[in-house]
Amino acid sequence: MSKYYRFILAILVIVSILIALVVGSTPISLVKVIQGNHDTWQLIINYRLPRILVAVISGALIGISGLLLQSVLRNQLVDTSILGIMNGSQFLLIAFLVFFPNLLSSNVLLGSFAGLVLTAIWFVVLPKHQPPLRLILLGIATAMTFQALTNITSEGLGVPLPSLSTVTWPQVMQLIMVTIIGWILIIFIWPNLKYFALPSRQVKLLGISEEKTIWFVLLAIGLWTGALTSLIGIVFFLGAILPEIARFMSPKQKSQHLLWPTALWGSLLLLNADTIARTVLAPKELPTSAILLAISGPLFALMLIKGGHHDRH
Amino acid sequence: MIDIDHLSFSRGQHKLLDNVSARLPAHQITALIGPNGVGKSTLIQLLTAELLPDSGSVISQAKHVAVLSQHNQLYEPLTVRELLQLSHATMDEELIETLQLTPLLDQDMFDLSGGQQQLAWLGFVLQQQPDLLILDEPTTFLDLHFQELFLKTLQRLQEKHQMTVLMVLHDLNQAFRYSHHIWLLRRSADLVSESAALMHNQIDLLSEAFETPLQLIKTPNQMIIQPK
Repeated sequence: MSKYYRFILAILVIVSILIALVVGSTPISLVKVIQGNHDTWQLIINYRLPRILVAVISGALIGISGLLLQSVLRNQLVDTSILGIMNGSQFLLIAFLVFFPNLLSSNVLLGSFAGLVLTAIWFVVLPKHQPPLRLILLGIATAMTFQALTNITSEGLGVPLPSLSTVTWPQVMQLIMVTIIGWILIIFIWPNLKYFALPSRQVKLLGISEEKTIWFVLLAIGLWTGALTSLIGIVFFLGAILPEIARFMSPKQKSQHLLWPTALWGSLLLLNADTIARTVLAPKELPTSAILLAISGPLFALMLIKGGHHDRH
Repeated sequence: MIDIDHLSFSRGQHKLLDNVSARLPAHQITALIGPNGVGKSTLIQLLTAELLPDSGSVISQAKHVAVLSQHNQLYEPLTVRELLQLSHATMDEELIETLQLTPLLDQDMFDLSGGQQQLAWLGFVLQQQPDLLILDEPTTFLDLHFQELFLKTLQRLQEKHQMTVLMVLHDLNQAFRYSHHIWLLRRSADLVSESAALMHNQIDLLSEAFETPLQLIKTPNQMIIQPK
């Protein structure tokens, strides 16, 4: 099952990419594409492809970040949005841009730096050994606070908030770069991740540094979250439900084996939500994050009712 | 194996250990007994350096310490084999056989009974080949069958590997049956360290420590402690 399942997911992502390339406010006829019509190719390469790539990469990163965060915090109900990391890095980026407006062209790198700083502060300040639900409430309070600060700064000083409709190729390149840097951090501590199946005390007694592993994971997540938030904005709950969807599809799998399915589900959901957002009422464009929230909100509620995976045992 | 030297520890205003000195005998099983809330788990955390004392010191000759709690939560679905491999890459077949885990190796830990899970966890800590094994109420959640199986197996493996074992037990009769030495932690924040044989007859000391009148019933082949 698992071999075909990943294969099917990958095919679905590719099909979604193809659909996203041709549908939109300016419909593209396949004939023109094949004929090599200049304007059509311009539209595809300059506008649609970067946007699609950002959606695919961001979706995957949101899922992977959620999975890794749940794993190292031993809490299957959290993700980067719930803990306030998304809102926090968005606010920090906007604050940076107020002081250094000429850095707007490299806003993705700046965003990843903001994410890095915020995650580091978060890890030092926030008490980690909280009961799962308390940690969630703490995180949401943090997220809401940053949301308010972002709104005040953005409205008050006229700094525009990110939207997928303005994505450019340099931004895509910056995002890819940050993705790779994050991966290098993760590969470094990959062998240690399996020990997070055990209680913290046992890991310490085995002589493995949990702290170091958590730092590496959080720094990677911070980089990714900051970068993708600077492009697509805040997507609430998605990172928490993607690993749960992957777990539901292949129960009894360990987190390290759920990485690919989680990433693929993320790409699939984010890309198609974006395609829906820009097509259903075209030429009017709906906010992608609202469409996603309409799906992820109820699913997260369902997850809470069902209880976290480890609560059931 | 471990020397406790003038150890003091308080939690807030509450003094748990007051200038306690004792020696944990090497290659023996010591049972740590005492009423609820007297600080048995705290003492264990001081021995493993998870907590630092207010004053005094813990001098340990143990090279590798393993600890087993009453309840060990797993955060990923692991099989018994996967759990054992996390403590040591190569599995000790003989140990697994002794613990009756061989038929369970490929089963999910979540699907096992509490008793089987605890035996698997015992395998997990023993695979680390500790010279000091600390067990914090290892039998609390087990039924009578598994309590006996667990303690008998532990006794056998201790003898074979000559480990030093310290275990917290609530059942006084189990404590005396399965240990050579007793540490009695009292509300007066002190520790009475005595061989099991000597401690067994001091029924007044035990009654006072547990704030319950106790009596010792002697039969031809055993002694049983009972509330009066």
